Amino acid sequence: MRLFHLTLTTIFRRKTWAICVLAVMILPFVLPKISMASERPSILQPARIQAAWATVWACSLFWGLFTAARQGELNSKSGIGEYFLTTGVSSTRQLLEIWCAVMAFVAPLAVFGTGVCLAFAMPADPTERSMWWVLNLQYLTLFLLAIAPLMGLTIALASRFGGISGFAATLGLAVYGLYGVGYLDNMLKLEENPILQSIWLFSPQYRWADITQRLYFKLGVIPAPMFWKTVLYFSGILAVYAGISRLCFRTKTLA
Amino acid sequence: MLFSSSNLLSVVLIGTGALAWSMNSRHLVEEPIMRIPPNPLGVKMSPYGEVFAMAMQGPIDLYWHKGADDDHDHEHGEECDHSDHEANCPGGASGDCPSCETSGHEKLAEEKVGSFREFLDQLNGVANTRTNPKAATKQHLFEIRRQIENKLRFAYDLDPSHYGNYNSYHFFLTEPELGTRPELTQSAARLADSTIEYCLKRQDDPRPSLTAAAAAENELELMFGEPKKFSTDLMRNRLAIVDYSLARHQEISRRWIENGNWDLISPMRQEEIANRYKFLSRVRDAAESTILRLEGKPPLGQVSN
Repeated sequence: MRLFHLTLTTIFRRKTWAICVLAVMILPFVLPKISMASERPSILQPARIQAAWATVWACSLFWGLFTAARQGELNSKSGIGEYFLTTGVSSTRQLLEIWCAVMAFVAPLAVFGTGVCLAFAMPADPTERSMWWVLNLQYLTLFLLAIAPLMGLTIALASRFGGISGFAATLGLAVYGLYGVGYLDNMLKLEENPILQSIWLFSPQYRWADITQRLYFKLGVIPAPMFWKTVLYFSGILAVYAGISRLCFRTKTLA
Repeated sequence: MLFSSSNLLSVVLIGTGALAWSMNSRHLVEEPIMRIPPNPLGVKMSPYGEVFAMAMQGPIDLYWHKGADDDHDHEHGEECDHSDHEANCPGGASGDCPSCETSGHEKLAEEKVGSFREFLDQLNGVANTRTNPKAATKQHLFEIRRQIENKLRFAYDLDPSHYGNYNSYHFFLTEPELGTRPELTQSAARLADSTIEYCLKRQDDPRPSLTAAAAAENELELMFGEPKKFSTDLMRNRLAIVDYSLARHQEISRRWIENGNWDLISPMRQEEIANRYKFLSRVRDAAESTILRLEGKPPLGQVSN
């Protein structure tokens, strides 16, 4: 696990993670003051929930993917990957260790976000409290299942095509999965197109991992069969990305 | 070499993953619970969406003066006289159109005392002031109006209960000379119905009730335009919604005064709410008189001979 420690220390010493941690811990309490919650205290908690998860998503997508891309590129361009390969650390193992190090910073952001929702936006009604725990844990699970494969893919693409390409491609994919698929669906409802329909059907629908509105409107837990189907769906994406990442990942540059 | 054990594992991962992905995708897209309308960061209809919806009025106002009201070109806050414009609005000076509703230019202009602020306003004007002596073409104006319409729709989506956003969008849908799409009364009626439904669900704020009353009054106005098409019973139904919404506004306002929420709103906005209530009450009385006339009964306050 020497590469894991090296990557972990490198990211830690850069200190930019601190900005994300502060944002996730402070913004849920600051942003509601500039929302309509300042006029209607009854919506203070929904505003806090939304701020918490919006910050988690923004930090993970921008800082998380950027860090993953940077580490992937660094590993192949600086010779670190080649060195570890000579010491017997296989390329798949290197990918896994870098991914673990990046996730060690990204996963706690989601845990902090969940913590804010549980500690500072818990419903007053006792019957809703158990629902709140389950829904928050469902959200945390789906978020990690959606974001973790993207981190791996970013590392792999960045190691082969460079940091900018790795970051831009996966960020684009994530934004498309979160919002683009919804707009494409609207377009297809207005005008049918079999090609676009197929693309849409096999697009990664990350919007299913963003259940902020379920929390915000207190819609209740995702029914267990649906939740496990969604878990299986994202596990499928995880497997595909893991396969592509293994094929793409390089420990040294071609030049 | 291509099918080494390492590559084979990757191919197996991709194959099984794709199978799980596609099989579940087909099931999940058919589930109503998974049909989530696009809403980036959940901002629409959220506490932040309501703030952005208010902020949207600025860009809408800018486009309005560049497009729909081209001959009314001026710098905001100076020599701004909307009296003619208000007279032409279906809602009068009630804030039904973006220009009337949004900025309160005159008040803002009076507040501008610092010379640095004026300097900044001048710089701001550099980006927006038209110096081209040639008037914009009809097609250009059409495109600008479409931009306004899109912005109005977006502002409405952010906060459907915002009085100004709803009325501005309704105004566009019902004014054939302004709207850029063939959406007239049917779309406006659908818009009003969904606005009423959304606003009457809101128990925590007295303002959405006023928007619901305005939506019901707008529907009445459309019905009065085609009295043969709509029965007076249907009109009475909409009038009942107006009455219910206004009563509900009063009730929630009373609750807000008691729990101190009312004091959290600035005096300017309190006055704005009071003016809207007065205006809606007057329109409500006028609507009732019209219904009585259509029913062949004497209008309110008139003694029959």
